[in-house]
Amino acid sequence: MVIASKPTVLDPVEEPIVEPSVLAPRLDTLHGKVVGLYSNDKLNATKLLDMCEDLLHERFDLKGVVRGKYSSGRIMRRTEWEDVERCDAIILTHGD
Amino acid sequence: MPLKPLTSAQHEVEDLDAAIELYFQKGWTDGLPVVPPTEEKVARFIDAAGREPDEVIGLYPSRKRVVKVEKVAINAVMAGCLPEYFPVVLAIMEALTDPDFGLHGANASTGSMALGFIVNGPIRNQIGMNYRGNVMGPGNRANSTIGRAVRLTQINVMGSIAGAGNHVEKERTALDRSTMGQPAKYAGYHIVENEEDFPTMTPLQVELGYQREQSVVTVFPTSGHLQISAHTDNSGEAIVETIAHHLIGAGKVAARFAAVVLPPECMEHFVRDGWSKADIRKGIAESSTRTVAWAKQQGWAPTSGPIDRRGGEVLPGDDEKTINVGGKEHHIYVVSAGGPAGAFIHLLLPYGGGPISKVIRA
Repeated sequence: MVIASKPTVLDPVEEPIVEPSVLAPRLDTLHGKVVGLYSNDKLNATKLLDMCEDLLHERFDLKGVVRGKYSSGRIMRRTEWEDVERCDAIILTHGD
Repeated sequence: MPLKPLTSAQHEVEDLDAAIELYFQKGWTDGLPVVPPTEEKVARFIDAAGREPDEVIGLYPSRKRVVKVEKVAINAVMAGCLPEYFPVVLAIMEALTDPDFGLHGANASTGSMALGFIVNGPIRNQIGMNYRGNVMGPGNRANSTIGRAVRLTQINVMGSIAGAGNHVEKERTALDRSTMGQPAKYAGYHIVENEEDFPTMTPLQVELGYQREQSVVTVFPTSGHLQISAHTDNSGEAIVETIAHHLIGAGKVAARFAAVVLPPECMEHFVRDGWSKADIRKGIAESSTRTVAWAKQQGWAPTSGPIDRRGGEVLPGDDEKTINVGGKEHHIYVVSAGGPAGAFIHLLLPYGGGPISKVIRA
């Protein structure tokens, strides 16, 4: 009697490439710093950032604020990235 | 010539029925049974396309995935494709991974967007695609399984696991957070242009700058479609007015795209009246142009975001500012397709990103 071998099928899943990452150095204070406030441009995210900006100005003597938009679905343009590089700290809000 | 060796993990099963169940258990399907992808079948797909298994088609940076030919082939086999369909699937994947497409929204958004694709050129007839009755419906293997292959690739290669309100589905992290989902998420809006019956109408790929002899697929994300009845419209002008009326009625200021799929009954009117596709696009854009003041007064959103607030106070200058509710001329893609009876136009609405066209390397 011939015993047929069992069929094999292929795995359809592509696993993500996970690269090790480290946190940026922490800041001691926001006094005298430039803070970036970035939203995904949805209504409530922008509203939350407005509140954050008011609070930050109340509590810290900021050097400046950069407002911007980000999307996890697209790569930032060079001019947008130059704005990011001006920031000492960034707060992201993600609304829907 | 021997088939190329593959590197994907293999799973031994009792028989092919058990394989189908395995794919359900693992969450590797769209909820329907799949064709078990054996090594030989997958290798034949890659061979048919003349590609290498480890060839990179594109990247999905938002989820750190690399899209390679071998994995796409596995998913195309699972979808029920034939090897000769595979070049179309690969071209669609190239379009999806184009940085200008906006893929992450299509894979993840609560907006329930589906993918649509328009196939032009010789490959339509070479692989037996349907561009007549039920072009977007069931019945044709190529139309249906090419779109399903794309969805399965989104699920398994890009990680667009459909969430049912849970963070984890079958031990895989959910990414597709569609509020409702939609039927076109199974096989997409598969549109194939009828380039034969109305020779004065320039095929879409030629309008986009390609040659008539080139096979091209144009891919776009869409929130869905409107079916428009034009049965009482007996001229090109009347049909364009009806399309514009429904575009405005959708309450959406077309962002960057709208596809208008015209059936033969309507095309006959346009041809008789001497209209070209460019005329149709221009007519729709002009007929759907309104002032910002009008849009606000009628309660529509005068901007293009999918969740933008509608209406609002009419401001000085709003009477002078105009918006193309149906999109500008070059945003409107006109396609000839559908069955011989019925003046039913299908209007595909935008949802961010796309459209992107790619040559099918068959």
